[in-house]
Amino acid sequence: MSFLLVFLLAVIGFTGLALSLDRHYRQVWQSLPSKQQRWRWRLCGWFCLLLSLVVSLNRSNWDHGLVFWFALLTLAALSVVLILSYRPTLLRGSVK
Amino acid sequence: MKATFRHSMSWLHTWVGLLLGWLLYFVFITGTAGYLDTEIDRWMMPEAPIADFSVAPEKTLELSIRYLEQHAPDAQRWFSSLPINRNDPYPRVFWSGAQGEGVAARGSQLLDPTTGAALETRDTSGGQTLYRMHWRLHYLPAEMAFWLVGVATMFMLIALITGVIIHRKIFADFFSFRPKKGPRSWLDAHNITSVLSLPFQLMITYSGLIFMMFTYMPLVVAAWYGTGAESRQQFFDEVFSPLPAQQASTETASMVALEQIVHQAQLHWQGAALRSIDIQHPYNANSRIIVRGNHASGPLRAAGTLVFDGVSGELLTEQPARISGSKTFRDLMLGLHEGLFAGPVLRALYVFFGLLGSAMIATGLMLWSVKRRERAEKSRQQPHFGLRLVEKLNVATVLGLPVAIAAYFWANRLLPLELSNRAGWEVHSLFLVWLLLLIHASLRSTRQVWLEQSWLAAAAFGCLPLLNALTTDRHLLTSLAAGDWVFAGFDLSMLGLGVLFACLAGYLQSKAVPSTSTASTRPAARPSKAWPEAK
Amino acid sequence: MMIALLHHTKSKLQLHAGLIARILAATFGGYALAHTLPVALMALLPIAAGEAALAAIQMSFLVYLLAVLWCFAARTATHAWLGLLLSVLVSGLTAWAVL
Repeated sequence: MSFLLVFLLAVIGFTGLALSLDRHYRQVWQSLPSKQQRWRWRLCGWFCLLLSLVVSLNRSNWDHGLVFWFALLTLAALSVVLILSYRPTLLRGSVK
Repeated sequence: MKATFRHSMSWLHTWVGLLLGWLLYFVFITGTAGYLDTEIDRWMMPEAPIADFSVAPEKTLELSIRYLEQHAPDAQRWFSSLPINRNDPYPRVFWSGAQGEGVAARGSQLLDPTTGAALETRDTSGGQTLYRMHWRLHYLPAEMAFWLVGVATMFMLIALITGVIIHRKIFADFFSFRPKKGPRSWLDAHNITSVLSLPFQLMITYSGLIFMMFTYMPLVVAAWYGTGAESRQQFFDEVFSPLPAQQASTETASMVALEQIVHQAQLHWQGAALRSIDIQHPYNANSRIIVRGNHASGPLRAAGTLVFDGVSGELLTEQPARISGSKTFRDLMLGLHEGLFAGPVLRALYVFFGLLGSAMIATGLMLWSVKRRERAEKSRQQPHFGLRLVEKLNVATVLGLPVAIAAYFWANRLLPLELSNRAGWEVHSLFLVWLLLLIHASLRSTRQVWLEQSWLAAAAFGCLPLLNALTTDRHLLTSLAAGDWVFAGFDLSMLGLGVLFACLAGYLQSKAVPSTSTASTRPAARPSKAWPEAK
Repeated sequence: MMIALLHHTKSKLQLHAGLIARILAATFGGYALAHTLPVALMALLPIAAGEAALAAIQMSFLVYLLAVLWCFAARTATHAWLGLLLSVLVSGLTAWAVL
């Protein structure tokens, strides 16, 4: 089941990266992020993506894990895109 | 200077993308179906039993050899592959150089896992033919098909890289999809599907070229080895094969017990699965038995190989899965492309990425026509022939091909079982239906064609489980009750596809009511700056 | 087409001539370079022939891609052809000298 964890971490990671961009931050909160907030989201995003990589490599067949990571990364990014396009306010409740 | 560079890359992207876009879409869709080849096989052979991967290799081997002794006596080579995972659900034998009256010199046969007799199924082209279409293009001569697909793949590679170059705001637009904004939305959809799945698309494209590299770049190897057939063979022997081929002796001999070989191989590989046994010159003094491990255990498509003496059973040589850096890179590329190692979840993701790739091509093709349609309507010009041609080809490919594939499945259930060349007619049905849909597209207005063909696709896929229930005794409920997930999964996927196409049709219908054209509903929110138009 | 932006003063025929020259350079010149450059590069490395040949052939598509990009990125069609011919010549001679 570790792929679920990897997927969730990747979703959180991409959400963080998306919220570090003005356009998407505004979609969620109708305001612009401060410089500090922007960096905080970016840092959180990259950290979670890195963590998802670590989790996926931490298994006996790390080569499978790496392929999985790439696959789930795409899926996660796509999920974030769909949420941002159709239900951006969903992120308000679940992230903060 | 920088602007011109971007413009020329944009021009290249537009035209290499368009020129063979429909062929690429065909390659992507049939290739994606290939990730489910044996599952499709199984649905198209409803007579076949549920695959059983727990049978001991010794037993399968015994059945295989018995079959080969009866049907391919005095063959130069007997090959038996063992059912260890979904890549080979049933025992399969292959032979060549057989002699005797009424005996085929070479052939291949799936076996019934319990009786060892030939697997009795209807004559079908199955998932294998569908999967092979993506590089064999079915009707064309092999060489021509390889080159066509090769050129298309090279175009794809160029389109991917130029696409990245001309995407001005690849990071800022990374998460942006702005629906209902005409060409802007098509561009967003094209960008999202491509950028997010770029690792997969690059891998699948480059590895596709590597599959056929000896055809496409024949002279590279010749630089080291010379151009003759012999020198070519020398290269292949050096790089790929563990032992030079052994000539048959004039003396016959008894064959070592295969259980002993299996036992030795299992000991050697610490119990890892054996995938195939290859007997060269059976019952000959120079007989060799080559045992191969599972080449689908990881992304690297390679397996260890053990070569035994066929008479004494002595282990002669071993070739490990990895022998050299450049071969390992090739094995990795081929392994990632085929995804044989993928379990259910990763396999589902492979299919999804194949579909994303298809969507990337489809949205690119749509973008070309939607933009030009908008421009033509703004300037109140009659849309020129090229635009109308592209529009027709787009709909008849994007929707027509899926309908044609559904027709392939319908043909499998509806063609009379005793029809001669039945398997061939299944494929003919696919291409005939596709042709009909092309004609349909040329006769009706493009908007109508989109609507009608999506309803048709919804019906064609959605009714497949019903057709299956009416023509076999394995309807969805029985296969669910029997835990036959391959069969049930196919029915459910078809149902899902039917619903998806019905949603598309419903959406198109709701959009069609207030306006007359897809692109003329409103002007684009703003001119698309991200992708300078080739002009 | 975009070439119009480059040479909008020239006649239409010349425009297309330039474009066709680029396409030809990309198709055939690129194909030639895809053979010569990987062979030259791998021949210079001290590795076994089979290994080198297998590495070179897998690299050739990347070289082809870069050659095509060059042909369309070069300032003029003449530049595209000259650059390509020169690199085919140099890498071809290197390969021939080493092997």
